[in-house]
Amino acid sequence: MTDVGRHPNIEMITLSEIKDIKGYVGNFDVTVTKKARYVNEKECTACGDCATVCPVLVPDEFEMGLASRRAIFIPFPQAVPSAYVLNPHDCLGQDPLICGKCKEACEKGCIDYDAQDEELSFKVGTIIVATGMEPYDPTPLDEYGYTRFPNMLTTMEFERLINAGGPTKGEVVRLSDLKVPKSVAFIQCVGSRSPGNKDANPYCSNICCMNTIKDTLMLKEHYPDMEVKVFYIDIRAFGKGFEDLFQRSKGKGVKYIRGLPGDVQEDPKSQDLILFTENTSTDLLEKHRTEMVVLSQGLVPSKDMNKIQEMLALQKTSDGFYLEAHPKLQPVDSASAGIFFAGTAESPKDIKDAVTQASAAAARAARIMSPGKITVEAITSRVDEDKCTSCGICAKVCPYNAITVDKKNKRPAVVIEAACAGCGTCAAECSFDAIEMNHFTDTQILSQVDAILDKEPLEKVVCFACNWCSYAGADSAGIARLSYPPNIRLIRTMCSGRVDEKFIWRAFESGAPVVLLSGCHFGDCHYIDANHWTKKRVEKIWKKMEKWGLRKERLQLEWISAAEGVRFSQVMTKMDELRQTVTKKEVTETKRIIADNLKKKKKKKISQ
Amino acid sequence: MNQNNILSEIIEKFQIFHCVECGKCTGACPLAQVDRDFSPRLVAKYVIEEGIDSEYVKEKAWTCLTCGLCNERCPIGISFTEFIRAIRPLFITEDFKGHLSHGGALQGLMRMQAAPDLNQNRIDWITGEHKISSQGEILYFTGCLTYLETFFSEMNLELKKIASDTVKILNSIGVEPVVLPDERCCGHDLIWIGDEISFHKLRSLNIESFKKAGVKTIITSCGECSYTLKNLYGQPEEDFPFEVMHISEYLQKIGFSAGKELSEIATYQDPCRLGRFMGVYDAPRQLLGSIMELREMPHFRAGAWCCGNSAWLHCDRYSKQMQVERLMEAKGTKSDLIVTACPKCQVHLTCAMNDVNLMQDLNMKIRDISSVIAESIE
Amino acid sequence: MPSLNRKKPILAFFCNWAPYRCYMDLCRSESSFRHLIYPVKVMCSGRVDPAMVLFAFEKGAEGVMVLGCKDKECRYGPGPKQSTKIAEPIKALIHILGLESERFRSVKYSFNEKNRLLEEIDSFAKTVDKLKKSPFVP
Repeated sequence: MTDVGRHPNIEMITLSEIKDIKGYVGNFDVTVTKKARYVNEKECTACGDCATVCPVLVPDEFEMGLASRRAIFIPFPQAVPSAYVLNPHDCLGQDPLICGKCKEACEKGCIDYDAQDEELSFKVGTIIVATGMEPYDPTPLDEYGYTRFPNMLTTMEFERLINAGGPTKGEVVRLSDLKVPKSVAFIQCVGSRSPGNKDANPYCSNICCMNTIKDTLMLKEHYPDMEVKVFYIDIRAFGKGFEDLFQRSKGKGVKYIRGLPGDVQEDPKSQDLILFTENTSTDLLEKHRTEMVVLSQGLVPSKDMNKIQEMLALQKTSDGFYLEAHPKLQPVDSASAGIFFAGTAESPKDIKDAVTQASAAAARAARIMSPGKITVEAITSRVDEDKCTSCGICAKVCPYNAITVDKKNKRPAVVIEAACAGCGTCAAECSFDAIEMNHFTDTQILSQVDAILDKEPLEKVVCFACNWCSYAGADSAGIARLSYPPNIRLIRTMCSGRVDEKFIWRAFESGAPVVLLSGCHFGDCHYIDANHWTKKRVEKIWKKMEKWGLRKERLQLEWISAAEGVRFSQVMTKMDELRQTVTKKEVTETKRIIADNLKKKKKKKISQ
Repeated sequence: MNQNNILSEIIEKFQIFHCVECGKCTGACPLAQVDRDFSPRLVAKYVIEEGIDSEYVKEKAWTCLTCGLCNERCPIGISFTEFIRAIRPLFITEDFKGHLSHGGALQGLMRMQAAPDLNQNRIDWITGEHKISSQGEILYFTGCLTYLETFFSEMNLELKKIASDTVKILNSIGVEPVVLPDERCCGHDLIWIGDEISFHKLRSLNIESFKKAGVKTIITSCGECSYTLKNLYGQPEEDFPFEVMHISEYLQKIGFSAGKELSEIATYQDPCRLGRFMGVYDAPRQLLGSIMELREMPHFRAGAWCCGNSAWLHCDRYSKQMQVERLMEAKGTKSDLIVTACPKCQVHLTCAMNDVNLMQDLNMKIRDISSVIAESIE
Repeated sequence: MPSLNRKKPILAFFCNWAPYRCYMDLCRSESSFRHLIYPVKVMCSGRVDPAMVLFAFEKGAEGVMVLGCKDKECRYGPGPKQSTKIAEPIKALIHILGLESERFRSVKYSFNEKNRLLEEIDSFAKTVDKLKKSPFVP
């Protein structure tokens, strides 16, 4: 931390909040609110004279509430910057001034009660989001009685006790009588691996097993005769040197019992805790009396994630951590260009992995910034300013927040090309034909439809396939030499979201018996969630087809991934079977119905 | 063969394969603490490995109290009690109907109430002091109070008084509930012992009576009736257009204000069905807390210990030991009175107090919440 | 149930000793009463619990009798007291169910009272016949 604080090329802004971030890769505009410290960072020598005279005592957050601090304090001795901070909520009052003792005591005159919050703005080229995590609060798990039983501790509380710089100078003591316990038990998986509990989390928190093993070794080192037990479901010791540490812990006589306590009772006299645990290795229900229990709490995403998520249009997984662009190939990239993740913000991990990820994120960011210019996607959208009515739909559907529309002042939509990934959803959703997709224009696609249906349209199935999944799925089928009827004609778009309603009417108007729209499975869309709009659009089209008297099953919607070659060929076979149920008469009738309805629609538009 | 298919479906439906074998269920189980052989985890495990022919499952699937503490503690969210309810019917044959206590008398009484042409005499507890009607939107569902008090006449249980007091409370707030003379047992115990056929007969007969009387809201004074009518009668929803509430929920909903304060100190026994199965913990506490000092036992709310029996199955030394432990907890709070919200809890705990050896140590007053509230509004 | 010539079956629990002795004596001398009841033998009337009586009614019995020895004549001891103890609760329970309490009788005999037994069975059958059919069908 000190290195970071001193580095000439790093500006470290502490005690601050991100107020807003706008812009796109290479050109992010960041506004930061820097809270008033009330102490001059540069002048303060952290001598501590101010804290000595401060009359206010509040629980110390760093010491997990096991010790107290003053209203003016330094979070911990090694904090960077090495300066004290005055918390205005704890202070007796600065305006009007009630106390003033700290200012008097400061020889260097570093304390300024009139300090104000500052607003800083600057431009950055890339962003790395490393908002971290928080420890899980086990209070809702009332079987463990945390906060009801004084000798039930969390990992973080235990860490402060055993830390030489902590409130007890490293002596592990029970909170009920301040005596060193003769026995300590660790309960694993607290708040983790619990999909059935709405007050806990379904994922494994990664670090708790190894942390407990480390704690057991420290206990055995300090107190060789202490009885140490670990209650677990699995011991996850997968990293470098981890298994060795586990063996060392066992070698010191730490007992590992496979089973978690289902009930904890307190002995009212001694305040010892009795853990009722089924030992699943022996199938016996055992009563373990222990003088202190440490709940090996898991990790939860940090509370501030939502704000940053909204500002940067990031996605989260169902676990609440940020979603990376690709779990294997892009583990530190977000789906938006120029924004990267590092550390536990992306998922629970230990220090080594967090540092590794940080290096990776830095490299990915440097990769963009070092050439000084960025190559953007060529397949982007363009707004025809004359046709644009500033309705705002394009901005709403864009998964990358790459379109801005000034609806109030009726200014035409603006596409930030650097942010546009080229899905085409905006072009498909625009009811005024005001957006054109480079390289996948309406004209280009409609020409393909016309070409397919020029001769013998009844023999053809028109299939719109998305580039990343369904078209690749077709490739898979081909490579695997799977046969399916040759009546299928594919039209490739980058995303299923590109498929405009008019393409489908054109296909039916031109005599297509069956039209298939195929895209990625939900959650797998290359363009985050553009396929949701595809589904909505198709549902609207189905409603219209029913209203107009057309068989809605002639428009099919399927989700086929790149790996599903077999499924692709099966679906195509199904489409061809469906095609054979469509008669020439039906197709002629369809042409008439569509022509009539589109004419009505046009008339309606003109008259509006 | 068909039974194997059904069993596979049950195993899949209740996610039994997902058990991580952490054993928290057994650790939490009050029965496991007295019958050290009993382990919900092992029941599930043996069902997978040996099916219902497993000797262990044949025995233990019936001793389970279905109290639901295991469900509460399972990190995966497996509902072990519903799993037990689903597999019990697979054991029923001509010769085996479950290990029934009291010779099966209680279950007999419940099954007999499924006869269509019944003309019961179950409302003799109604006197001139009660205002009831035969048609109306609010129904008071009495349940088996009359039968239980008569069957256990030597225990002097005051169960009919629960019905009487509940009606008095409702009358005091201007409600004249419908009380149906042809009401049938809700069937809770029957469905929990695997007799789905009788349960459905009772359900149909009851629903028919409710509809004929023009009922919209059903109020009960029994945790089991509440749970059964709301959750088990309520499927499918179209058949059951009624709202169901325990009397404590109803009083809380309408903002019932307390009567006079009572001098006794009470401790509250959360019934399994009202507490864990329906999530009603606060309403009774709020009502009681406003008229008397309320103390909690070490196992309370979602962690409350069962009263030791379920569905009139198995009444043995394990039941007694559990009841004794629970009464010791109650005694430990130094309260004057145990308040229950389910007549079953009252019956079972009172029975345990009659233990010849421990009577002195265990004896405590035990009353239903409606009787306590009725006393405060007298 | 095997069919007898009775539309309203009566089940009678006989204890093995005095009542059954009377029953055997009756069988040897009279046959006309046999179609009136279904006998079930138990070793002692104290064995009969409410569950059995209720089960009989559940299966369609129109009347149930429990016939035991007299209070000081039980060779085991507690039987007669036990059967007295359960008699009232049973009557109360069947009354709640809507069955008339006359449908249940608990009577005590000495070994030589076969005539009294005959009268009892006769009168009980007449009582039961006057009542409506039981709503319980097996």
